[in-house]
Amino acid sequence: MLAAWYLVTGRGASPEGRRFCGSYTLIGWENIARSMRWSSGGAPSFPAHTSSGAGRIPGLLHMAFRNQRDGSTEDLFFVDAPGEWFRSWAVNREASEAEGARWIAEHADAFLVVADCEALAGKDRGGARNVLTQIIQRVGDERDGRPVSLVWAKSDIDVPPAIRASIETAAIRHIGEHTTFSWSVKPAATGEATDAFTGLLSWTIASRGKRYRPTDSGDRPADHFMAYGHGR
Amino acid sequence: MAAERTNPLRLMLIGESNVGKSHYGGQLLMRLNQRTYALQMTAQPTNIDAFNDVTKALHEGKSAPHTSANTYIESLWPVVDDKGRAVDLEWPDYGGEQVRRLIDDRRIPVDWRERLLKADGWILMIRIQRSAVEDDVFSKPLAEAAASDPKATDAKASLQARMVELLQMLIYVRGVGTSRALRDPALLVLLSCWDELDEEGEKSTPIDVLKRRMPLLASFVESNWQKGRHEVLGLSALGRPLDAKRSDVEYVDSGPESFGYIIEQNGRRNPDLSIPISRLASIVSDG
Repeated sequence: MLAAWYLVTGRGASPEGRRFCGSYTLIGWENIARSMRWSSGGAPSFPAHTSSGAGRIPGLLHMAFRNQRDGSTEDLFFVDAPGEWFRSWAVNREASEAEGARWIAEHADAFLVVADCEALAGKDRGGARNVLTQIIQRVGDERDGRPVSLVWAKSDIDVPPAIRASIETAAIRHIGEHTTFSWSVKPAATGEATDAFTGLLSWTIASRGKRYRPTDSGDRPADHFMAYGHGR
Repeated sequence: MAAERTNPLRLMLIGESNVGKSHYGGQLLMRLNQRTYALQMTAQPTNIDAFNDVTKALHEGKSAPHTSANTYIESLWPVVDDKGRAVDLEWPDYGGEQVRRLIDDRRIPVDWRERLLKADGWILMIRIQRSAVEDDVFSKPLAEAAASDPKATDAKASLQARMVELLQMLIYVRGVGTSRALRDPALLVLLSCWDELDEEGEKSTPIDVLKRRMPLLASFVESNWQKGRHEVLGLSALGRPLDAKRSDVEYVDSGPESFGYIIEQNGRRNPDLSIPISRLASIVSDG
């Protein structure tokens, strides 16, 4: 989903009232998006699974937008974390493998809970439903007034109605107030594939939970993100 | 010599290899010496050695040899613009590999840093026909997406991401920050080898072409520079492709000064190759 997000931004899509104005992690975005391009020596594919590795803090991807209304910049950070982290976090909040997920849950300003339609329609759909329901319950417990969105990914694949209904019921019961999005890289009959992403990105950048406090960055030429080989 | 000397106008010409920096420098030098365009040479420059090979090749109807990777020569051209403003134009010629190394190594050498700090304006040259958003699953959907093999991919970032990265590095070294849109240095994006665009080039303005082919860069420039402090123009320094060995007879007969043009912001073609410099000079002096 992150890869697709970068690609539509690279095609000029931007959230409502904003324009792309920079990224401190362009190479990171390029790396995850490369496999979805046709030029990489063969047909594109979904990006490789994020490995769960040994890290305790997730990789962050940055993208900045300038607000067209007042000229301010808004910095978005996305976490690129392995699904296993959330799986163990859903089962046991204090699990040692869930340290990364706990870090995210503590620092995030908004949550996107992704429902993988391919998994929910596949052979192991029962297991996928179980994991997703547990994650929904955990997120509901941890959100603390922060915005949550349920995102049906690969939505061109039909999920059995009973499974879909049970996920929706779990989301209403445990998360409560939330928005819902669907996206697919295959265009729906009703519109371009990129529209769904623009909608999702607009929601993400506009979402402000009650805990949200903007950080005043000031002029930041000396920002540590940009340590281009000085002092080595 | 009525024109009064002012501070030099220092321009930083930034472009990777094969974008046409030397061809533009050579053609610009000849245009300035013709003294019929917006910018005119007020005296013969002391040393035009850097462009000697280029002008020689163009007069023979051939393309100029590649500038060697480690060369960096600055020439000082005393010019006056159509409003009578005198400027000493510092025009560089160098091997574009140096810019590629800046991006790849993420390291700015000291001499480049000094040039960046003192420059009044930056000209970013991009060979636009070679830049287009690559096909991905959004432009050319798949029947079935297979799982990817992370080892099977090459490590080349898209050109627009490289150019955004380069500008971010230059802004950082300049030490200005982008919390607010930039005033200085003024930026001119020059889309070179415009003739290679064929029909697309005849129908579009430079900013439209940039938005279509490099939308991420177009957004980056428009959202990080104040209105009136950046411009996008098209350039065909030669007007047509030339060969390194085979001579173009029309070039020999009519002279290189009969070829080459600028595409103005409104899409109009103009043979005055000094326009980008006079535009940048006017933006800088208006500040």
